[in-house]
Amino acid sequence: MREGWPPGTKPLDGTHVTSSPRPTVSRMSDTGLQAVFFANRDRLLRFLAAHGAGDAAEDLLQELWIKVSTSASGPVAQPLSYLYRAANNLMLDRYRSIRQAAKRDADWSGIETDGSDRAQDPIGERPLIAREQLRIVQEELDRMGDRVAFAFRRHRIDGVPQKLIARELGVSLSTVETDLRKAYQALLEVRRRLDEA
Amino acid sequence: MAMNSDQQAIEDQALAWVVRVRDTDFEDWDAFEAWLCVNPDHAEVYHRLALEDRDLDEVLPAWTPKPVVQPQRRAARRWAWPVIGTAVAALLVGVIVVRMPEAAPERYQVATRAGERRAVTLAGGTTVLLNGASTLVLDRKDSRFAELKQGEGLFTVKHDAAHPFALQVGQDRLVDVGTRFDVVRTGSEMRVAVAEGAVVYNPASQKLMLAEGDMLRIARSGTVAMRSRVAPDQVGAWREGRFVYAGEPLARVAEDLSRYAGARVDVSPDLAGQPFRGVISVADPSRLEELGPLFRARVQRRGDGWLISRR
Repeated sequence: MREGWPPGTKPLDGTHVTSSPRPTVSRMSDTGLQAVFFANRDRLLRFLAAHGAGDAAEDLLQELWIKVSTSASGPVAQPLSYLYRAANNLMLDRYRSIRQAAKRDADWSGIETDGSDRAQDPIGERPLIAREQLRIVQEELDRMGDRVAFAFRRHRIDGVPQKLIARELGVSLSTVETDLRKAYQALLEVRRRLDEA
Repeated sequence: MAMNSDQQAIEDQALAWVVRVRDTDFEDWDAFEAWLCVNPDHAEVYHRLALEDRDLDEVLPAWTPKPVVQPQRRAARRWAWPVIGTAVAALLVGVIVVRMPEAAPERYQVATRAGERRAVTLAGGTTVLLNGASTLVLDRKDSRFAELKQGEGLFTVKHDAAHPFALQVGQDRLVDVGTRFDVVRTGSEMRVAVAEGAVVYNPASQKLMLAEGDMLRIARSGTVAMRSRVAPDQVGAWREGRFVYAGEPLARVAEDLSRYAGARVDVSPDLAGQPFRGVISVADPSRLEELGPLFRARVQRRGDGWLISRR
């Protein structure tokens, strides 16, 4: 019996009458992912370059393959999209570590960043006054309006595809995109303000 | 931060890409790449915003939305269904919010007309997706209570052991143990199906535990209870216009379609009891006649609604 059940709760052990058809997920083996990777090697390289990889693009592609081949477990439904997303994340990690290294160098040489530069720093490097931040962010979300808040919640916390959110709300996909942009704009603005304070 | 209009435009576009790329369904990588290539600043601004988005993880999990009722909207013309995609836009119309004079003042109703869908968010992280022709009673003072007067709702409840969420359905009570479940109340019965986690049926009396994939049907008279298994990922499939049946009578199918499609769907008496197995996908509620072959019957318009009858 699972924890948290009220005392005296009986499990439902009914006859398993029917089972509805389940959608099938095509199984993608590691070798399949590898095939897609090498078939799209040039495209992925172009994508990394577009992200500003410069001379490091080849090395980063290598790094991408190591990351993907060691972490992909289970079926990958859309292998090419999966690889693009991994490449995107890799470039974000790289951007962050470059910024952090630059900041460390600046700190070591005794150059303090002043208030006006702070907004440019990736947030999260400084200790955050978490509780206060949460309160302010919460207020901002509450202010955004019901539909925007609902869409944002479904997207950012529940991880529901935007097309499905559009269906749930009975609005178009572009309306959901607009709502989410509004939500992000408000939230990021709040966090920047807090960071500058 | 002083920003000229070019910079502002790049910021706006970058944010739009953050939102789009974040979508689990996103596939348009070529267009994204093309945008990145236009100007090296694009990648720079995108990186900064995408990392700011990532950092929201620190604060968001603790966020609980406040109770929400959307303002009343004018009902669209009933049969003005455009093609699917934009079609669903018409579904969210005419939410009726009525105060109940006889009940406690903190209680209020959220009701949908047939063919409409409504998302309701409660404090404490509960969301309810209300199907058409449904009425939900909520409590301004107690966000862990709801009553389904009629119709259907898909409940996603964040569990809080100190304040379990209780749903009243007629004389019955369902209490969550951290879950997503679908409840239907019709004139003749109550059905509950659990997609995730579990609920307890009438904790004060029967104490029946319903776990993932369990379905319980209780006749309105309270004398007949039937339990069965369903595929958990099919629970609440109606929100995507999908209906899954494993031998339910056509009368029940017609009832589901009426609630969803916004027009009354009847079955001729000789077919009402005929069992139906299969998955129905309603892309366009104005073309229900296409379902005929699936039912091995004729589906035709009758007045404002539809009739399923023998071919």
